[in-house]
Amino acid sequence: MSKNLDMCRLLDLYGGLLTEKQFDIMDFYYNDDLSLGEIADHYDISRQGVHDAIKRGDEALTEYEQRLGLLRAEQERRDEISAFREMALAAFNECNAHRSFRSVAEKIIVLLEAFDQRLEEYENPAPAEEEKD
Amino acid sequence: MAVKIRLRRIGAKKAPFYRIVVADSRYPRDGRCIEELGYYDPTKEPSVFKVDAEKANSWIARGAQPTDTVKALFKKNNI
Repeated sequence: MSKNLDMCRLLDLYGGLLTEKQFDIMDFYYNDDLSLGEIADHYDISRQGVHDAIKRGDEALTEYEQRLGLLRAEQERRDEISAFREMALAAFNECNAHRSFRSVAEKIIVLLEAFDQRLEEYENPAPAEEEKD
Repeated sequence: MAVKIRLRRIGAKKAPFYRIVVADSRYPRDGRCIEELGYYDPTKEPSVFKVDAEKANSWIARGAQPTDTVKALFKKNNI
């Protein structure tokens, strides 16, 4: 399942580079959990054909990632951010432990909250293009 | 006609999140589902899986087919 999850993310990132039909097949397979047989029925092609298309798609996505490394870069950025967040939290806890630093602690927490909010907005940029169901 | 128990992806870009739904296999795409059974969040570590076991079992007893992924998830969570 974790391989599927990776593919899912790659599909989000690089899906636009696939042909429309190939993307749809991959989308059915990874995002809607349809079986090969169901996709095959839908397109009136053989199961083998669907399987090949998905395999080719997997290879294409993996290759894009190997060359461009966007997913990896993003993961690294995420790790950096969460390390930074943890440091800020530690600073908050330290300040909060001393009565005389409470006001500093409060400022830190306000900053942290603003930071989290921005992060949230960044990760889920409005409900604009997301399909609703 | 076949009734299936499958995952349906919701959630934002690059943050997959799934609902476990009961749906008719003839309408894969349109979002119509007969019932929602729970959800599955693979992004957490360990992944979160919540499902109404009673409902799931009653659907299976009535002949609904879980997809392989869902089957694996049920198994992992002893349903």
